[in-house]
Amino acid sequence: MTPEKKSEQSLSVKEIFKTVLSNKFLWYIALANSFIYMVRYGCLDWAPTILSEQGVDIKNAGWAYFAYEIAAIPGTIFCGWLSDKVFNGRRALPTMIFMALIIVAIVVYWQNMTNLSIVLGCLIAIGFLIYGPVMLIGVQALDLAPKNAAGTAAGLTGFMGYVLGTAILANTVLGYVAESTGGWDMPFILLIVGCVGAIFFMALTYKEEQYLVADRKGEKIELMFKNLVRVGLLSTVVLAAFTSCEEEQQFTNEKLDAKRVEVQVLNSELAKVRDYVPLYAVVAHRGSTFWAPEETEASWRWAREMGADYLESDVQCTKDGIVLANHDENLKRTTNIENVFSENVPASRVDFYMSLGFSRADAEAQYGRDMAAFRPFYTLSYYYAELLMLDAGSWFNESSLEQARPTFKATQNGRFENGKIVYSNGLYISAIQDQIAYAQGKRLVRDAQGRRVLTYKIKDEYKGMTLQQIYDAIKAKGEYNAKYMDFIEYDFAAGYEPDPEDTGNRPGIYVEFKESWLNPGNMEQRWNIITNDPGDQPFYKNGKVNVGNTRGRVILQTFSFDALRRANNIFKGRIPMCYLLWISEPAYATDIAYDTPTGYAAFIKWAQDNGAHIIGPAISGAPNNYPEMNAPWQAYMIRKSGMINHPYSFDSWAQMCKYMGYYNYGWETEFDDLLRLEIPATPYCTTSYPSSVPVYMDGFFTNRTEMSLRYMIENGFRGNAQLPNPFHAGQKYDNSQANVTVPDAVATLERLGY
Amino acid sequence: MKKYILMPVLAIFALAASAQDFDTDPTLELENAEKEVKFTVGARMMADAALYHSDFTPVNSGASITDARIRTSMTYKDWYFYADFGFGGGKFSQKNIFLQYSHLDNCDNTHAVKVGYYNDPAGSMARNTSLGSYHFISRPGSSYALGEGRELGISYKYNTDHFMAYQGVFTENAYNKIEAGFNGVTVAGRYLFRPIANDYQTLHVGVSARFAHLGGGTVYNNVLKKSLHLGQSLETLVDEDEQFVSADLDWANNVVNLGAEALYQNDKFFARGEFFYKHVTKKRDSYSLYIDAQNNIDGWGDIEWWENANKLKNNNFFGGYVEAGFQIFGNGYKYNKQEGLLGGLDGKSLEIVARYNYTGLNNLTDGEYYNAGRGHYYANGYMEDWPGTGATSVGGGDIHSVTLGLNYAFNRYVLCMFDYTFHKLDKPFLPNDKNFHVAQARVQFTF
Repeated sequence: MTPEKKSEQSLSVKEIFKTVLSNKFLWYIALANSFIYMVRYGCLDWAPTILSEQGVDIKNAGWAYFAYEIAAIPGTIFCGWLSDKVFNGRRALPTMIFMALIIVAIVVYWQNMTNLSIVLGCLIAIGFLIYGPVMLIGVQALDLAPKNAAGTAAGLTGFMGYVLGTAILANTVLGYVAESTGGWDMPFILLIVGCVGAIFFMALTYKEEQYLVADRKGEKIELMFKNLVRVGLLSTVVLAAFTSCEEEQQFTNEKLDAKRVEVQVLNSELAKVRDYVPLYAVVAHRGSTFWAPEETEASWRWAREMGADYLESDVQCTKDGIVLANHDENLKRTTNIENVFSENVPASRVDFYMSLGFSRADAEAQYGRDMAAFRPFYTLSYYYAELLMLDAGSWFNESSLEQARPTFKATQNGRFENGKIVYSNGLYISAIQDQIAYAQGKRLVRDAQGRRVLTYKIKDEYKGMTLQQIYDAIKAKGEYNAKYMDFIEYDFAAGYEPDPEDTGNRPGIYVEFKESWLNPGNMEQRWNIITNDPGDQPFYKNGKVNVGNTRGRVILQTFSFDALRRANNIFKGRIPMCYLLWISEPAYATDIAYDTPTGYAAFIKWAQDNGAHIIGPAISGAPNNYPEMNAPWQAYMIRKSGMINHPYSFDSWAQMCKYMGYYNYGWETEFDDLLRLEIPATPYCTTSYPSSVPVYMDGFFTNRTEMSLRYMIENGFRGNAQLPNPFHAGQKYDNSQANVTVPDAVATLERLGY
Repeated sequence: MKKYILMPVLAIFALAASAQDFDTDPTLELENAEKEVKFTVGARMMADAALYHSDFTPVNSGASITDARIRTSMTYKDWYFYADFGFGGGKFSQKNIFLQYSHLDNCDNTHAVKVGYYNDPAGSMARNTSLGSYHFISRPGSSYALGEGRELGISYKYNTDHFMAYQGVFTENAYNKIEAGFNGVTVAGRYLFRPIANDYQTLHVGVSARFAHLGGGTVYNNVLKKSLHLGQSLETLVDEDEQFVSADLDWANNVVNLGAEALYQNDKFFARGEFFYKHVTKKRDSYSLYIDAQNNIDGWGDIEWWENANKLKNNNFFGGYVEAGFQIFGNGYKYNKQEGLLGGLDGKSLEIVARYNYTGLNNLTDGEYYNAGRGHYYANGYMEDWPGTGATSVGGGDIHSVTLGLNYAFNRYVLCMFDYTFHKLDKPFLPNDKNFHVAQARVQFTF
């Protein structure tokens, strides 16, 4: 007898209960209902708690509650329509389909608990989907029970739903599980199990319902299939349409990703040292590569007198362990070494050793060892005294005809004569001590012929030893490779004198450690960076640069992973450090290989973890045409990290305009939230009104100090007491005491004697 | 006498059920009784629409004709020839092409010898099952990443009611299109035991093993460099991008695959699963490479130094899946004894299916550091300036995938499939990609 036929009979109360309680299908429905209620109230009641715990504002959590209920209205109507019209009055199948879809929504909800928009979407979906089955269960109970027993059947399913589903499973069990497991994973798994349980029990009623539908409606299964076909095809069309409509990031968009990618933020200790560095620092790249031979007395004295905040250099080691300020790993480009020495150990080397008092046999034996470690024209292969025989200025006159000056060229070459080294009398390969001295307002002491005065001797600890013994002693230290014979001491203290042309600027120095394998392992410790704490000193005093007297007087920079890690081990983040970025194809061993927001974030993190406060990206533009590594999205990521951005290197006004945001003046940009600054006008600006620009750097390396300083002054970034501080929201940055007049570049060179 | 003619033919028809990775139950048949020849022509088309949602890296949603094939077969006495050709995605591709001789012995057990280009017996149960007969829109990801596909070779299969042994010898490249080296050689076998095998239900358990010696490669610095690519898509064919789960193993030499499988089927329900283990050994001519790297000013020290900076490590990868289906109505699930595979939906049917898959292509070495900007691992736990990092980790990605699906067959020719898959990814190179949601639909037509 089918349920339909049963409903025609008249039953006593006892029969009603017996009929209902002995009907296994009603029990299946009741159990399914308990699981549906578990899901319904499990999702609804715990949503505000979950969202609050995930850091979502409680107002939004309330919204979630509301959205859940609102979505129920169309969901219930749609489900009823689907059941009646598409499935010909069948209740189990749409219920199972809806519960299966709820599993999907729960999984998405579970995996995106911290994303409010996704959670809201899931709650709306669940609200839309769950009330249909709630409604259909009641209808199905009525379908399967006799008419006289309909109320009892509805009571059974309702009782199971509210007592077992809501009170026990949704409220008690889920709450207990969440509390005892300390998270929401298990409750979500239980909700999925609830869905599966509902599907399972509904599936058990499927056949019974099939008879019911057949009896009531006749053989209309075909119609259902047809409708199902329509639903399937409609779903496919909707899916295809949906995919074609989805506009959200359909390709890798670096600009969008730069905002989405998480960037590690500088911790408070590193941020404190970051603030040792003046904002919008003008860093004289190698002194200048444009106006004078780079990294020489001429370029650094010029940069100091022009008013640069830092004198930039690159450090390498000589064979006797003197730290040079010199860019290239070999000396062919910036000296006349190929004219002075052959591609072999200098022929005068044995005589040089003998001039220090060693025997010929000892010197020749050491010469042999020198040969074994020799790299032609590499700084590590020569003693510093030998390098002072070179002319580091004449090459510039040959390569920069318009900026050439006779005074840049030595008039007498260096040589070995009468048992001693005779220095040349022009510009020299610099030692780091030289650079520091220039920054402190000094110049080299020279003799009447214009030769540098710098004496040298064997260090006390090696006196009386043979070269073999010195070699063995150095090797035994194990600190660095024995190819470095640092047994000679130079009297740098007597090598400098006050520069009569000094006008009082005291720039800091910005020093780059080069490739680690070209230098000894203790390179970072070979000159004394931290001598004393100068305390809080202003970056500028009375229109003069004073950075060289502040805690930020030395900045270290490097492309090298090893150098940054070793420097961090030594200085522990107490000295501002800059990690430089470069990219090439194929990627060099220290290049960023994946210049994507993800790769950029990885490098920023690595730099911070190794004590860096500054990122130094390459910039594009003539004449260097470096790869662009400071596009707006990259500048944005650096700013997001709280690190300083010091791009390199500037040669033109156009580059200044580009990276200081001038070309975006008045235009809204997508990175304005972090990069746009309101710059009040100063009396030195070319305009009298404030400017609003997105600024893509916080300082920079320039070969044209005169041009860069003029840009900064005329656009309000220098000589301004009211600059916004991008690292301290709401605070002002005052550099009103900075130099606000820029001397003429050529006149300055001439004043300095070039 | 008639019996001896009919039996092999029937056996061949039995072999030609539609579960294996070629579809051999076409509608169009031409028979020349006089010459005892039967010729068939069939075709298959699959059109998929997929919607993807990823945390970070975009996956291209859209629709695609993911498969289109023409297939032919010819039967003559104990001989069976089959060929199918794909042109899905707008590209022609060689699919199966083989010749098979089969024979029923006195105990009604089958002996079959097959030669040609077809699926490796140990390639996995999933890969041996035709996509047209599959109960999901895509096979499990682990079967692509760790299983094997078609190879050129010869095999012998022995099949009884309760046992199947299927083994063969193959080569890796069907056309010998390799830059250097030789084609490589593979020995593979699949062995099934069926404790339950009747008209109502089947349970089989099995193991598979495969050994491949890679032979072909490219010339790198005057040295033969052999490589192995492992990968899978997000269990979808609309965007088959493998960047999320893939690994390229340079200097691969030998590959050992071990697998275990189980399948249960009755009229209304099926469940099956596989476990995959892949071991890849490495080999290279280090000395020649070292010498080649020496001839410049930044040359290495001795060969030991070079080898330490360029270490080789054998790799191990694991994966597997379990999947199940429940047929709400239809003609019931069928088991193909000859192939040891589950058949597809046959006639008007509705089923719900679910699957869990795990693919592990992360083979990491303890203590190594990874930087996504470099795309490198570093052996000492931090980045170093040297070009050789000495690291051996492989970060191809670990992925867990859960799929729920609903399939409706209008009849034996037309099928609609709907799948939702959630993927959880752990890949060091893509640290921002954790969760993927994939909703897919397919319309499939086969005749």
